[in-house]
Amino acid sequence: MTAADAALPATADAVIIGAGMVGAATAAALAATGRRVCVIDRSGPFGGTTGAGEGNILVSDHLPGPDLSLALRSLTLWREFAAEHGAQFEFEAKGGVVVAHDQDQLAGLLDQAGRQRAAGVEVTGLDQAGLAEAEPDLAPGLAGGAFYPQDCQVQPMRAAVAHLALARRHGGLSVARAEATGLEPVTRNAPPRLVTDRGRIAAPVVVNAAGPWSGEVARRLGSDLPVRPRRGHILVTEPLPRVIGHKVYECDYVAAVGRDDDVLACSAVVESTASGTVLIGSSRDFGGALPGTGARAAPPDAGVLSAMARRAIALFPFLHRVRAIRAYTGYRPACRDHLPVIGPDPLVAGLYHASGHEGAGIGLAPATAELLAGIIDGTATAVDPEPFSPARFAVPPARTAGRHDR
Amino acid sequence: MTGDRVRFSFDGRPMDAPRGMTIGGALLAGGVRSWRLTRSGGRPRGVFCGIGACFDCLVDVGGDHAVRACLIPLRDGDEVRTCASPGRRE
Amino acid sequence: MSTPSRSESDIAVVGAGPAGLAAALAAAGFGCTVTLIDSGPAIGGQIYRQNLLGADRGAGAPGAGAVPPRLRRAARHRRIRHLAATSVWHAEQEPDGWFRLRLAGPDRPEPEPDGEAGGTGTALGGQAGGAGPAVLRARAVVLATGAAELVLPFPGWDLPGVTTAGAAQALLKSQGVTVGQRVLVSGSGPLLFPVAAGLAEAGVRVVAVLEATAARVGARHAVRFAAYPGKLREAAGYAATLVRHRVPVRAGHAVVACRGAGRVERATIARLDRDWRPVPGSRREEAVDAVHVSFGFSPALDLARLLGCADAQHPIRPTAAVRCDADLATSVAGVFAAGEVTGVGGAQAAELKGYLAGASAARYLGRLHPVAYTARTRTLRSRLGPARRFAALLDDAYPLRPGWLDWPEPDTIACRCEETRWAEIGQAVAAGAADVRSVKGLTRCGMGYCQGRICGPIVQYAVAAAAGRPLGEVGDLHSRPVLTPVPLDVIAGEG
Repeated sequence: MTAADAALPATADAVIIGAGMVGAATAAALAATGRRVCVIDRSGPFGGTTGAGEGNILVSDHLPGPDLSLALRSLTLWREFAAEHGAQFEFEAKGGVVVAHDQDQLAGLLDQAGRQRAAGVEVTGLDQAGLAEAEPDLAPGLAGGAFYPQDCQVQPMRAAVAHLALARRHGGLSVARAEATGLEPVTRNAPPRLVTDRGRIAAPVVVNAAGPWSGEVARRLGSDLPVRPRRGHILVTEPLPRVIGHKVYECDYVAAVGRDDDVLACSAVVESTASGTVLIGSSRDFGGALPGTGARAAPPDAGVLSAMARRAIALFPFLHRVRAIRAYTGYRPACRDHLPVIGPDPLVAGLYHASGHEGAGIGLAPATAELLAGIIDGTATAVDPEPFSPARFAVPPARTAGRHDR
Repeated sequence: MTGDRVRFSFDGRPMDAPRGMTIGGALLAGGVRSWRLTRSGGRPRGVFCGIGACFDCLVDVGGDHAVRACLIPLRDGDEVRTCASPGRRE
Repeated sequence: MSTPSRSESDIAVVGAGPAGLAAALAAAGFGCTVTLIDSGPAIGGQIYRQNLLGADRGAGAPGAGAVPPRLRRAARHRRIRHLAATSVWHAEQEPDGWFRLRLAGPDRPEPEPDGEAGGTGTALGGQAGGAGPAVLRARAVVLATGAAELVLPFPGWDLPGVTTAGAAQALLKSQGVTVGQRVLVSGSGPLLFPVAAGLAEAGVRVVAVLEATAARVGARHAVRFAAYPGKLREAAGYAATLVRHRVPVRAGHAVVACRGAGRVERATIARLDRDWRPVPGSRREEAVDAVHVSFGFSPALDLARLLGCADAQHPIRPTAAVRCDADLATSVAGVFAAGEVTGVGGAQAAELKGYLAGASAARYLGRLHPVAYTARTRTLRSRLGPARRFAALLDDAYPLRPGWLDWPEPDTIACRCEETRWAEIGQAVAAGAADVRSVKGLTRCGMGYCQGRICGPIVQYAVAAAAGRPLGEVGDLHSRPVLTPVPLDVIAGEG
């Protein structure tokens, strides 16, 4: 019998909804506290956003604040984990190069870099010569950039597998294919019971780590979570000799992340992978159709692919004759204030959320898991949990603490 | 060169083939079974599906990298070379 | 418009095999303008392969199988524009109901008529004198994209000299080229005979034809074949050729391994039990320099998927076919389908369906009155019944059995492009992957140039078996948002 067909246990110390990167990391963190953990997912593990991203672990695209604090802590945890297991998931400390097209952009980028540096990020400004030395195949004529040596990349599905393996080593872990449909609330004598299409499981801790489906899961469990699926596209090229050494992206990427409107935001992100392919992103829009919601699947949008290809060629002219061999979409779990949601649900006892990481779920997963474990156990946490609290959505809109303007 | 046969080279070796053949057909007719090395194992490949679906038969010719030998018509003077697949798997 | 414009036509027919040619002719006959798109250099598809070396070649030249005259007209009809060496890399329906197809040219651009190679690779299409359009808009689409061969892996199947049976046939028919001189033809299904016969006629020593299905299974259905005297005559002709050339035919046998230094030199033949598992002690080796393998066909679904057309999983084969109604309309209004993509049935059935789909598309566009449609297609539709029954008979007579899962060894290549090893599939399932997509993500199966065309059915079958789930529930690798490798400048629209 395979893991996917394993029976749902009747009880657990914690049940995690979602077997993606965040769910896997959370399983590892909770299993490390001695808990018996059950992870459920209605499709195969890693079948959601985890399998649709580039596997980024970045500090470069986080601005000072709770966002960056979480990212820095998470980077430390990733490095520790990768020191022992990194080869299993192609961990690569490749570094990131952010590119400015003109002097105005460069000034803004260096200003941002200065603020990030003050908050603990390693970053070096690059003039035109420095940029060319860092990435010789970049188009000439770019104004300059910034180098972030701490940016890393992993193969995300394998990284999730590695975290599940870690959870298994700590103690009881079960993974079952099941879909959460409801929650029987806590009564005086019994913990909450999660209702699934394959039976009920009683657990004092239920974690919603369902990525872009987190809003729907929250609704089913009697709560409300404003997580929206924000679509992204990736184009993959044929395998090439390694010509791009770092993750390279345009400096308007951060602004694209921070947009609230429904307009398509494209910003070039280009990097080579261990297998020799070049990944080209990025796009953000609220179109498409989240799989598994009954809506007809929407294939990648040719207009978006076209825009991304154009911007990638503008950065790396040699790409113009390189062939793309596949494209795919993924759906980022986006919160309107661009911060993840980590912590106890304000309405439903026993329910916790670990979601809303937008495009940074891979990178932020270990620190998210560590933070949540600390919140659940009431122990001190490396990062202040308050800005990530799910309760923040219950306050009137006039309050702006925790919101970041970009 | 006009007429019945097309002159070309494979990894520097002069060859010729009837006009109208594909690069793959010409190589096979000339006794060459493989003209590509795989990315990870460096193993030889030639024609597999013959219809352009499998991309096993990739070959380098002139300035073009990794084109399907089973589909591309051979031209006079083509410099055909073994396609050593770039990149690595692990 | 009376002739198709550069970038618009009533109907786009994708695929110029018998189904596509027939659809184009039917639609054009009813007054529609048609753009006929095919990635090959000439019309005919896989079955009607034209001799690339010139029709005036000598008697030994491969001329058999050239396009029948009744279909050849499609290349010259004034309402049909044939874009050769052109591939559709993306397609979508626009808000106005028209379909937008994005087109790409061959791997290597054709030279301009004056002998210079076309630009930086942006020349498209094979029309004499110039590049074809990069985008085509059409009010209706006929999918005639055909089928690829299904191949099952065994140790050494990645050695040069091991090819599909179709490859051997294509090379022989179109160029008079043979891959080897002492060969085995192995697999299952009706393609093995014509391929072996053709090779034998061309002077190749065919050591044996190996049909995996046991003789008694075929015998069970033998009576049903009597209803198709034409097919029986055809088969008898091939059989007679094989007898004449002393080619033994062994049912219940298959090549289960190959080895050699840099190319296939020896092949292992095993007797198979009824489930296709090798019978212990039955393996023996033959010295060969080529092995040609085929286990039937897998409809090429990717364009249908991209357009959102529903398809149906085959019950026991890791293949699927586009779902059509009795008028060959797919689940997407304005998209029709004909030929092998609707279910493997052979060239004659493909042609019949093509005519019907073309007429159906013409009716959809208002060029053919529904009453006239019914009258004009009555005979066609009546002939489709027997064709469908014959396809079902072939399905029953050549069932795919699961014992082939015992042929690969742990180091056998599962994905040829990414060199994923067979053992990695099992490891991925053990790590929790329960569907094809997850296995793909963990093993890279299907991420190479061919995007799962070869390994997709293999992985689907293996994952279903390892995860203990039905074939239709583990997903497949038929979805390809970029249908063929395309230069980024073509995607950018600057091509």
